[in-house]
Amino acid sequence: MFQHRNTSAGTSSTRSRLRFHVTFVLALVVLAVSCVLATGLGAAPIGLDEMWATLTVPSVDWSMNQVIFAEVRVPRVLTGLAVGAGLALSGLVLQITLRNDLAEPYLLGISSGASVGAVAVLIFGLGLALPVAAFFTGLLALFITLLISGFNGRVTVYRVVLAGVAVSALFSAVTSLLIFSAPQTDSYRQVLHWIIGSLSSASWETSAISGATLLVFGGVLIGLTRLLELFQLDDAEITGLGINTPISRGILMSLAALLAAGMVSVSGAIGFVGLMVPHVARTFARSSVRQQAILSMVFGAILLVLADTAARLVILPEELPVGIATSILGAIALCIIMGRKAHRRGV
Amino acid sequence: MSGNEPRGKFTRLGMRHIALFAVSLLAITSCTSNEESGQEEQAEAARPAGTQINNCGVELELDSPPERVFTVKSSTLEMLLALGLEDRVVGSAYLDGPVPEELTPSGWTPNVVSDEIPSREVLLSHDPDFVLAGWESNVSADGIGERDELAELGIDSYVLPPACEFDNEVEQSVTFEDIFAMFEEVGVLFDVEQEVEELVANQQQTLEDIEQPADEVDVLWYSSGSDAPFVAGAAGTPHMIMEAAGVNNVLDDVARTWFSISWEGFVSEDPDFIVLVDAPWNTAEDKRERIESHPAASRLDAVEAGNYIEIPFAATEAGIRNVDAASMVADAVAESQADQ
Repeated sequence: MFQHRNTSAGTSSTRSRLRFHVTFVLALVVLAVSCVLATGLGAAPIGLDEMWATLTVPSVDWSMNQVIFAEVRVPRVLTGLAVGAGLALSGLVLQITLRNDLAEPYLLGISSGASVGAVAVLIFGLGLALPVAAFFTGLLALFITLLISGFNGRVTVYRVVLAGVAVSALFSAVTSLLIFSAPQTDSYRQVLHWIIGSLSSASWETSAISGATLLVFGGVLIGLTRLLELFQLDDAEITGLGINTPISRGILMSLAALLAAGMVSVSGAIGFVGLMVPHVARTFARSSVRQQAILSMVFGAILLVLADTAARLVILPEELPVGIATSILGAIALCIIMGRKAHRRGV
Repeated sequence: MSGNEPRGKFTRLGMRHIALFAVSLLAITSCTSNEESGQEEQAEAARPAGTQINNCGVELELDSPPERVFTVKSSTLEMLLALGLEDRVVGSAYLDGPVPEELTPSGWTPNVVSDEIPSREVLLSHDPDFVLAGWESNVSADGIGERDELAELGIDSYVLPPACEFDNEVEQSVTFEDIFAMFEEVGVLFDVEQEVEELVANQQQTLEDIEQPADEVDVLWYSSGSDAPFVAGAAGTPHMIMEAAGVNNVLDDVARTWFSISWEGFVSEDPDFIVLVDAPWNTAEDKRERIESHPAASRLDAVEAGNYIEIPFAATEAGIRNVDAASMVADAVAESQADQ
């Protein structure tokens, strides 16, 4: 848990703002470099000159590398960027509104809900686009969670978390049932790929879906950071300010969940980004929720773009599902940061 | 890690080639000596009361040939059919597709007990004395039971050797010598050596009759998968089939039976032909659509020229249909080159 800090003291506020700006600019540079690296590296390495040539040559004359660059690599990096940013922001919002450091985008059943739709499409075809099916079953799970937690009544943090756990369990069971009842299958592998989370099916469509989701729901959430900031107070204090706490919390959580649902629908439930990145972001912007939100997005994008590049490279010509790489990289990063924090406090 | 990987694979491959060479030498020498000593043994008549072999690390000792056989996967059933042993099959499970007409005795239909691996109870209800399994994983605790458990119930089992040591698949590479050795082992178990001899002779003839393409032809073997295509490396039956057909496996630098490649890896291999494995649960048509709707793969020359080769899934598993698969590959290439 973290406390609301009164940072009106001039110097500390200026210093923390400076710290944020420096971090932000550096992070953007790292992100830009990561994106270029990610675009160049893979089964077929692509040089900067080739990338440049792709932009100047008509598409009918592209070499295979240029086709890979324009049709596979760039959309993949863009999808990773949006998904990473979206999951991290979603995680931050849920951690703040639920005042729980272990909250993450999938807490409300989104990922297990989305899995049902995705697995149904993977195993039975269904003639429906996978992201569409995943998105709607994800939303269904969210809806049930909110319903159970008594959206209109007294929705408390505990009720939300419990309802999320119950709904996740229910939908996971349905997914298992689908997998189990699959006709002959080597679809297991695909299902596993999807459940762990992977960007290997990224395309311009997934870039568009994840990008639009980030712009819409991420944009609204950034616009609502003043409201989000209030959740650093306790419920009674917020209500004392004349604000309907349950409804505000419900709106913020729903937006965060919608944001995550859009991302999960294109990439599967990539783990750890939404749980870990907000903690890292908070160490660089302690006081301002808006700054935390912005840093979360940039850090999330960096983590996912780099993790996906690693996932593509480590076992060439195979690929690891990126969810494995984010968990490994994320866990290491979190340990380092916790270690530094402890060191600084002299613990 | 990525830097070391290719070299590691290369070394492994090199080792394998040496091992292969050694195995082939052994096979050649043992063949010749077998012919002589085999006849001598037969002349000695009275084979020792039981047949003893080591199968996937399990000692198998049979007092008499199996009479009531339960088969798992298509490859095992098809082998028994090819050897005229249909009367000894009491049930079959986990078929990979319909039994080909040319293998089906007239008036006979397979007794398909279960589309997937049945439970042990279902297996036992057919009172088998022998289980013939296509994959080692078929005889495991979450299926019909471990082999030693089955043995305690008086049910011996045989796993097709190319599917042994599933965990260790990197070390092995299947060859037609292995396939024929497997037939011979089954021949001994079922006391049908004569039939096996004919079968092997026929298959060897078919292999010899294959007209290999004059030019280099690069082939990529696409089995399943959409997010990440599941393709054939250098260790499995697909590689053996491609070699017999005289074409290059573009992924022969990967010492794996099967693996998931990325789409960009798929595209950068730029094959002349793409094999589409046709399985009931994942048809060749599905894969063709997937390739043709992929923004990068759809621009491959092979795709634009429609250079696909469809191979039924069951023919890609170690068994009696591998030679047909090799002919199919060679024929498809020859046909396409004749059109040009």
